[in-house]
Amino acid sequence: MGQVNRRKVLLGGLAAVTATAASAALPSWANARTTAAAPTIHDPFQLGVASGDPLPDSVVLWTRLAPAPLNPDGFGGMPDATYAVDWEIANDEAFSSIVQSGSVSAVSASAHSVHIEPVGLQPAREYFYRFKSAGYISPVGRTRTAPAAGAAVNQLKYCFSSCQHWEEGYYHAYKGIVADDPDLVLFLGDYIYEKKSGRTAQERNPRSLAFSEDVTTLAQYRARHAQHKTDADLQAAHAIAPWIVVFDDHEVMNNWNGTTAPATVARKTAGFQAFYENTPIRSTAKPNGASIQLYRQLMWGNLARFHMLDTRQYRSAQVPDPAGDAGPACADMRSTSRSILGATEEAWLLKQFESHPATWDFLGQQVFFATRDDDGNKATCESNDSWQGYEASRNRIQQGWVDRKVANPVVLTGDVHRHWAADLRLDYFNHSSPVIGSELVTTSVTSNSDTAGAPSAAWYANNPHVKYCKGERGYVRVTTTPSQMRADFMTTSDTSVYDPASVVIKNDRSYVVQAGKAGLQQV
Amino acid sequence: MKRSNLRRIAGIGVVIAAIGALAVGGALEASAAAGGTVKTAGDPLNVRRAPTAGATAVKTVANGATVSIDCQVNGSSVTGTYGTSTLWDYVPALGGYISDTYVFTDSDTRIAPDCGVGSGSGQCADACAGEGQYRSSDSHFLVYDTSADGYSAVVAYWLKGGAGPFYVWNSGGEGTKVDKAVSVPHGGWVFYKVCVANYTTGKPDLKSCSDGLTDFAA
Repeated sequence: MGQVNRRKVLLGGLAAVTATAASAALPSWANARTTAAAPTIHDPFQLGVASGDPLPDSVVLWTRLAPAPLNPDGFGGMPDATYAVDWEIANDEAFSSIVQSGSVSAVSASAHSVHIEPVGLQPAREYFYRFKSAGYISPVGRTRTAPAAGAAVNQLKYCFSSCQHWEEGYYHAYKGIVADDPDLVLFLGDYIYEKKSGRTAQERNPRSLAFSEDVTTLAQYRARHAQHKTDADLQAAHAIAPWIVVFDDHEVMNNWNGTTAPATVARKTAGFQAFYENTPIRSTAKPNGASIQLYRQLMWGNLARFHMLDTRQYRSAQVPDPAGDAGPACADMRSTSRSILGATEEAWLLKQFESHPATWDFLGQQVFFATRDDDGNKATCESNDSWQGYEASRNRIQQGWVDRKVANPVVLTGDVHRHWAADLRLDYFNHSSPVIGSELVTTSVTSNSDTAGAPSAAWYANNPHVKYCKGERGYVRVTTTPSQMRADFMTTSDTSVYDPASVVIKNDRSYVVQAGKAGLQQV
Repeated sequence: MKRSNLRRIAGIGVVIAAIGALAVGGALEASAAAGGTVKTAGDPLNVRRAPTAGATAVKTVANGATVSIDCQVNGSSVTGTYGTSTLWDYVPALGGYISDTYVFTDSDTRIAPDCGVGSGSGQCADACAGEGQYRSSDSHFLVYDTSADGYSAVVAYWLKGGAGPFYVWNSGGEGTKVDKAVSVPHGGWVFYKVCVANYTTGKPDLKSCSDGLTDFAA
């Protein structure tokens, strides 16, 4: 963290713009009369700004008006009225060269969130954006469009993170991501938690929720999202790069689908709506009741393709995991009639594999992909919530990319609150089965792994495809070129300690994969 | 928004005119209070620390007095001169709330914004064993212990930036008050709840908390 960083310099500039917004740095439209005949409000930009899902000619711009973000009614202190929100995209952070601008209405039915989807932007370009409403000017965000389709790209740097229970720590990981100055950030699920922290070591939690009950209603989900978003480091990370966001389970409820006690339609509807309102995701993902089109593909020129998956919404019922040592029934775990993606999404993904527009194929998704087997005995099974609980589904995907000659597949995973790195095999019990890809699992931003012990040497001997495990907080930074992908597993100092000056971000372990040569190599 | 069923207006036209004026003039700014006149059977009206009949009466206001209402909020139900309503009016000049059922406002509906507009506010823990007020003018919390229940009164509050809660404790026992400045930037929000709890320097087990309210430093 000692090096002089362009991003830090830039952020200093952004902060200055914000601080002086009321005086010297007023944009051209700052003095225009607010058209909405709506009650006066305090500064509504308390949740920051964000951008996401970049295309070569477009990127989603997001904000949500919430002058009083923690209000229990979920409306963030906004009166039940319509407010005009003006937006600007510029080539420079001083907004001297404005590219596009417009105005939309923020309405209470969508908790005064806005999703701007401009078109006609230039590919592979950095842009700056901001909003104005009710006489207030938002912080400035920086974003980026994707390279043109098929364009040669020398390098892509992105970070990915997951699992950020608000109570269980401060979001130091985002200090690291801001310092890394990535082109993109991927978020792989558990952006909020529907419930308060359940860890035994409650004394390690540095903060507590304003509303501590489980959230079940739209008002409560909205307020819970808002509380997570009050974290200044999270806002800063949204403001420096476009994000590609998927949910996992806690955006609705722990293991909300495929279990004996799934979430109700009403609860899914509320959770999806609040997720949409609070993320910079395209209107193609606007939920329709208890249904949401979350899985999607994004391209980064000829260098990378992202398959963002939904392993929650369409999964077959989980195999029961009875008490005791027996574990879930292997015959059921391996049943070919079961799927973690559902037939439609599986077919969509396999269809994607038929074309090869980019060197690297990243599968951004939620739950552990490779098998982890404690005793190395194929006759006993475990981890019914992960891909190994849907083994035939995983086999179809793995065999699918092998058969369709996907050259460099890399699976990106969240969910499990520890860093992991693993190679992928068609048969995880045959330790000479060829390596057909790799998996990078990011630890949590804050969510704890208090009770998880480090794998033993015997465990690694049973799982030689697994290379690394680290039970600390952090994120993963990926630098991709046409010849190589490098993954840096980043860890943070204690997230229960606020003091920004004491935060240490460390590169704990790095691996590379050479293009055309499957398998992780430790750096 | 709950509205009372009172009939205490001269005519529908008055309401429309009043609402129109508010909307066009933007009269709901925190500083732009609405006016009202206290109307009782003749007795003075209690001014309470929080918008509930169980809250401590901090003073009284005379029948016929003109009051300046900065904000309104739903609290406990009261039956007064103009019927039954849960609406309470916050009058900073009096340091507390009066039931809207004793105030002639020339309107059957809300005439001021929800409390939490930067003019100050107050809340009770359940049954008002603890009472708390946020004074916007200089960003102070005033915490009152009103019950010999063995618990401290405590305000838990959250601020911009993602930290919290912070606490303002009153462990002085029944009848005591703690007045503490809290650092909130000009115009910044503070979300707070009033609770009772056993005092601790660690994480308290908060009990009987109010629902919580956002206010703003002036």
